[in-house]
Amino acid sequence: MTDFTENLMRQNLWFLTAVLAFLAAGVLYSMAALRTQANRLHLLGSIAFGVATVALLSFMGTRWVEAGRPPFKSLYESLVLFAACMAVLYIAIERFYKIAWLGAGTGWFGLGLMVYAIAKADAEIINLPAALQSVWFVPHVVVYFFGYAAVFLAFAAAIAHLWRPTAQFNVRTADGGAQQMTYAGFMHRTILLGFVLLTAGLVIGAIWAKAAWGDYWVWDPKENWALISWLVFAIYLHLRLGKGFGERTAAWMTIGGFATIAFTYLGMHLLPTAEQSAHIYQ
Amino acid sequence: MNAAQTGGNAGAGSRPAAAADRMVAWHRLSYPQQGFGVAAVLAVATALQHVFASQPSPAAAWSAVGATALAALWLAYKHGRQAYFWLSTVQAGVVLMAALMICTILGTVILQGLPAQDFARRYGSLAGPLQALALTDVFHAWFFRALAGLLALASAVSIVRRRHTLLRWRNLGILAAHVSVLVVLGGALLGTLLGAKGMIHLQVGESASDFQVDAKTRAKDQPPALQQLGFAVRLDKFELDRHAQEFNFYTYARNDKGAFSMIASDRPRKGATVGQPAPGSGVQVTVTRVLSNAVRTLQGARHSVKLPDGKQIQVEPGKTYAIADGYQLHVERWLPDFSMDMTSKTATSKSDNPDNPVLAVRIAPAGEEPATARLQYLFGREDMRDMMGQGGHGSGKGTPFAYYFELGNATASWSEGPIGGYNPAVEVEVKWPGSVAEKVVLHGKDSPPVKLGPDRMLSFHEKPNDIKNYNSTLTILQGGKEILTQRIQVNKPLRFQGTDFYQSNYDPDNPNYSGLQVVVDPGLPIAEFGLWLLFFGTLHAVALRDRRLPKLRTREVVVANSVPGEAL
Repeated sequence: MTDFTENLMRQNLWFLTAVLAFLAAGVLYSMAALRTQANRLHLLGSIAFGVATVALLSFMGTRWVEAGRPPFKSLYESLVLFAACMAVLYIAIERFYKIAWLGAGTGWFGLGLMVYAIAKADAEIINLPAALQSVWFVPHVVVYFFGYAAVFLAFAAAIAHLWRPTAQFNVRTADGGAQQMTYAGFMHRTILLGFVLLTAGLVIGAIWAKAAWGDYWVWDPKENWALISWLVFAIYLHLRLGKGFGERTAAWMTIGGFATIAFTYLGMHLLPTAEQSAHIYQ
Repeated sequence: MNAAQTGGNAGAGSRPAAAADRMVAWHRLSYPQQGFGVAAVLAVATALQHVFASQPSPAAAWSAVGATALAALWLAYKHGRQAYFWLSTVQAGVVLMAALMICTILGTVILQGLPAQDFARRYGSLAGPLQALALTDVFHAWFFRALAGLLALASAVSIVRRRHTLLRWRNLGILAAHVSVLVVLGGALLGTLLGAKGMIHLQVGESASDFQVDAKTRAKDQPPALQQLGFAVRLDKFELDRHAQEFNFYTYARNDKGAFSMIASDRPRKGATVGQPAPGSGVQVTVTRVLSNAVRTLQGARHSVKLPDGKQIQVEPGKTYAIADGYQLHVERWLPDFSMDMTSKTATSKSDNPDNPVLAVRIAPAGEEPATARLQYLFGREDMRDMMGQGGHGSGKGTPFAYYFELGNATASWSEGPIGGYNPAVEVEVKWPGSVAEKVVLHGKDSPPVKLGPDRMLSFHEKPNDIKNYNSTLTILQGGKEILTQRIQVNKPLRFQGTDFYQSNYDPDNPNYSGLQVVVDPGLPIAEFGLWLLFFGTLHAVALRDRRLPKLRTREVVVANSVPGEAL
């Protein structure tokens, strides 16, 4: 195993810029969260996310050209994609929901993904195996990572809700007005977004599996865990319809849902059935 | 939910009122209680699976089915309306989805589909109970199918009971998402009942009109079955696409287990610093030249040939020399490290190091084209000369000619060879702190690695050249006529009359073999439609539903910030 610092030194300028941008976003939004009047910090934090987005898109673009394939194959590449999806989604969401704590959470989490990517840096750009050479590859992976990013935001909001259940913040409406919302309300909205994306990822994956393997579903561990994490949120949506489903329970379920997503993404090699799987990050 | 009362009293007309009063609506029970109810149904399914796995006599099988049917009828008579109502509730949906989740988790933490003896070895005394609970093959177990059936039933019943509200525009997404469960499971059921899956193994030129049905898609006790295609499929051509050949620098480091593993790679670019030296070693490797078709020449090395008359002459590869008795000696080429490829019967050089130098010569009468004469290999190494009996050495039965190689103080030099060849080499400058930079040529075929400090080294070799894709050109024949020809590859199957052919296997040692997966599954298009229905339904539902939430596009409420940091 190589040293972390050795891996760090091998990263290119775009990558390092993104690391610093996430760090800056984390610091700036944390500072903004601790102050009442923090418009300038907010602005600077948004700029940091913008820089991170540009840097990561450039990183992925150059790697795409160099590798001659979409840069979404290895764990390292997927972590970079995940971080990019976090930055893009946060920028899009901030147009309506300007919540400093979530900006801070996104910044630190994005930094965490980048640091983990350094630890897991690829020794070599590997070729794409035949099964992954498909038009469905890019939409499947990108949709899933936007889904993961949305679930992360829901997870962050769930923690914020458990910490401050009654806190309310203003939300900008589409016509430029404002409206009140709690963390639980925001959490639910991001779950809805995440659920649509997870559904899309699942459906695209199944359609692709048919073209590649001749079957929509082969009960592969990764597929199974994608189904399990999808079911957590499907159950959440059904439970919400009944009485007695409190916001606290909802928050804990969201945390559980994020945990299943994290396990689906990173924990597959821990399963005894992993040896029978076709798609696990090495 | 006033529907709960409706359900609770629904059976009152046909039963004593007292009994109805004592009944608690099932969905009012706690989730664990509802869960036990579902588990009981699944246990019945597992019991039936065991009964049928033990290959009962027809009488026993019919009694099992009959008993189950009677029990189901009795339950339907006693609790039919209650069950029907329960299935339509959100609670039932939650319990069934949670059950599906738990079963799926079990199917990933317990090894699936292993042969019984492997199972016993892996799980010891647990193997028995796991097999009894059918957890050794969850996704094909009867209880899992029963659960899927219950989910389909619950979706259907909840749609029927809510049909009036669900048919409104803003609820159509919800409707579609629940219908999709039925459609997907219906497609899967159709596939299980009418579909077959299997493999066809073909050599180029061969054709097949049937295929061996895969063990998993037929009942366990049935013998291997052949399924007719209804037409024939012929393999016309098989092609392996490889990724473009590529040579890179690879840094290897000794890992915790003591073995060297690759930790970094660099593309060969002139001026680039390459390799990942051991921390603190301070060594720097810079690329000074990149040659795509490198040719190595040894300048100053001396080749001489002893002629039959005992005279020794100096020669150079590529030149022709007049010798005694009206003959000429043509020195065709020099092979620094001779090796004979036994399959193609051609001489090659294993490396560029003069470890086994050989001169390839032709001896022809003067005035004739030397190429017409036989090619002979003269060995420069003493032991080889002895073995081959050249120039009177050894047994002396070979040729009277002998070749002597003298390295002297020859220097190797590298240059770019003719365009079109591919023989990559790089020249790097290795600079250790406090010493003079040293130039080294790394040749893709045989150069020893450059040391990069303790337990580190840099080599220049070919990128592992994995297969890019594999392609079969197939022709469909019906009644002896060629109907259609199509090239398939991984991710690009061929579909003909409801049968799909997938590129599945290749054999690295047999370029004429192709393995095709055959899938006959009338449920696939239905399942595909169901999947898209699920997606668009969910999208529609999320975009239009959930009016209980604070809406973004409604009245503006401006509230002062109550918590610092949550500013607009």
